[in-house]
Amino acid sequence: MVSSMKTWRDQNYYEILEVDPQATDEEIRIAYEKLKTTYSPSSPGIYALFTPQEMKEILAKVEEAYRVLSNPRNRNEYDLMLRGEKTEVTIPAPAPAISLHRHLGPAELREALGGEEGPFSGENLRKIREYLSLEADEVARETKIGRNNLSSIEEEDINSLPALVYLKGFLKAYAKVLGLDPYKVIEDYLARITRKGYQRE
Amino acid sequence: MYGEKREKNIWAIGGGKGGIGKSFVVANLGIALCERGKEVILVDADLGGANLHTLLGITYPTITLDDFIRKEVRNIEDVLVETEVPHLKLISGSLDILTMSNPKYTQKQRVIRHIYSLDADYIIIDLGAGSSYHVLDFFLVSERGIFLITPEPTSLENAYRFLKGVFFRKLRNLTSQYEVKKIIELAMDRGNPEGIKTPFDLLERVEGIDREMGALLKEEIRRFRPQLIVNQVRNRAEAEIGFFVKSACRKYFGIELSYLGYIFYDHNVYLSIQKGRPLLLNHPTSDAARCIRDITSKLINGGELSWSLR
Ligand SMILES: Nc1ncnc2c1ncn2[C@@H]1O[C@H](COP(=O)(O)OP(=O)(O)OP(=O)(O)O)[C@@H](O)[C@H]1O
Ligand SMILES: [Mg+2]
Repeated sequence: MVSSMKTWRDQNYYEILEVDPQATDEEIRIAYEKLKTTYSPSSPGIYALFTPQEMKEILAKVEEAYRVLSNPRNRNEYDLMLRGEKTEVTIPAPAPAISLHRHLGPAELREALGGEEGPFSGENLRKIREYLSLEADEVARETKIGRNNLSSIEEEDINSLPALVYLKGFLKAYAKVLGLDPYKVIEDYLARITRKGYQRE
Repeated sequence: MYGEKREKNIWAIGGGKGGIGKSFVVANLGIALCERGKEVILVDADLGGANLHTLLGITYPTITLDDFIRKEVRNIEDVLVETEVPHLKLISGSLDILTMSNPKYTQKQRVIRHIYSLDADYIIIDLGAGSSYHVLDFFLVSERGIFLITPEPTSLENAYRFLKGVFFRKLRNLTSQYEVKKIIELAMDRGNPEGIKTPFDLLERVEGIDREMGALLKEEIRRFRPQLIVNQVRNRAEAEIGFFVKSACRKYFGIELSYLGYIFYDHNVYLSIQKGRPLLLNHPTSDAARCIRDITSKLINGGELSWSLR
């Protein structure tokens, strides 16, 4: 495993993601999900070690590392650079999320939900998505949630929902695409499925 | 008595917060190690809150660490008591709060010295809550202290503070150079006027003062590999917190924790404590007992959990 007495500011992408330079795509994705949760503002107790600013910087580094290492061409280029066979690498720009300019106001929300403003159940998320005329496939692709996970989320199918860490990440991504407050969505949604007996075991 | 032939593992168990299950884990890890044919000594070093004997079904220990500290007996072996489990011995904690909750430095050093000399395969030391110097010094008796947390935010907050305390105490104990000591003490306070924000900043500063000392501290940090257990876990997501803590420690301190495993929150723990009988004897097939056996395998073989998706 990676063990370097280097501050995260000086770590290379593999060290930042805490994976082996030989890591598979799957391992890299798992590491990325784990680190996003670890350094999210809601990560319990972490403020005893890092300031909010530092956590933001770590998260930005994690994102950057993931963007490069999750793309075979960029990763190859980066590996060459680490070996000194190349001097420059392209860092792909952050994915132009379709959510960038969207913010759903209360009026629109009521319209989408037939008079209500919530709660953010699976069914209501689907209604909002349809209101915005976004195809499930399109959202699944943009958010990297995957078609099956998206259906499970919209159907609140507690037996096929992913483990909590991933579910939170997915809900956040989905909420952003819909122009909703991710924290509100996660809160509502988790409260509902917990009541339904979601155990993520 | 200082014959040190057998390879010994000495681990202290700490975690900052009170009531998270340290003593429960010590008692049952001890039993699980005995089940695997090991000879084990448990030491109750919770000065001021000793109760490990109770968890092992001993209501009134006849002899305790007190008798050793007050020098009524010369060797620490003389305060060893047998338990109902063969090959599991106990050194009961001091029950005299007044004299013992605040031992003198030399007394503490004598206890630690004698613990090293004990003859067993495994010696596990139960510590009290908090991050006082006594607790930190006992935690630092070995490179591989066991760090216990629960998934609650309050426990995690205390846990990170505890590790910070341990970390800086360790570095401070490694040097006798006044200037370096001073810098380390300053660094413990994040708002220090020297602008030392992280352990990495600190190491850089120490290297600036004394290159060799800097290298020594780095080497010691590299060798320092506490082992982590998450107790009272209610679901998978809570078990995963162990990996988050591991990552945070790596990025903040540059230390590698081994995540040994988690122990389920299990009502049988409560029942066994009520009954005054260790879980592994009273509910040997319970969920929590199984978790403890898994952890014991990892402890014996030096393994750890690896992160997987589901
Ligand atoms: N895995 C578990 N499942 C259920 N309850 C538990 C578990 N672990 C610990 N407990 C409960 O927590 C209580 C406190 O445990 P314990 O006395 O071992 O904590 P401690 O950390 O040693 O406390 P102190 O800091 O006071 O020494 C136990 O009495 C038990 O009821
Ligand atoms: Mg205790």
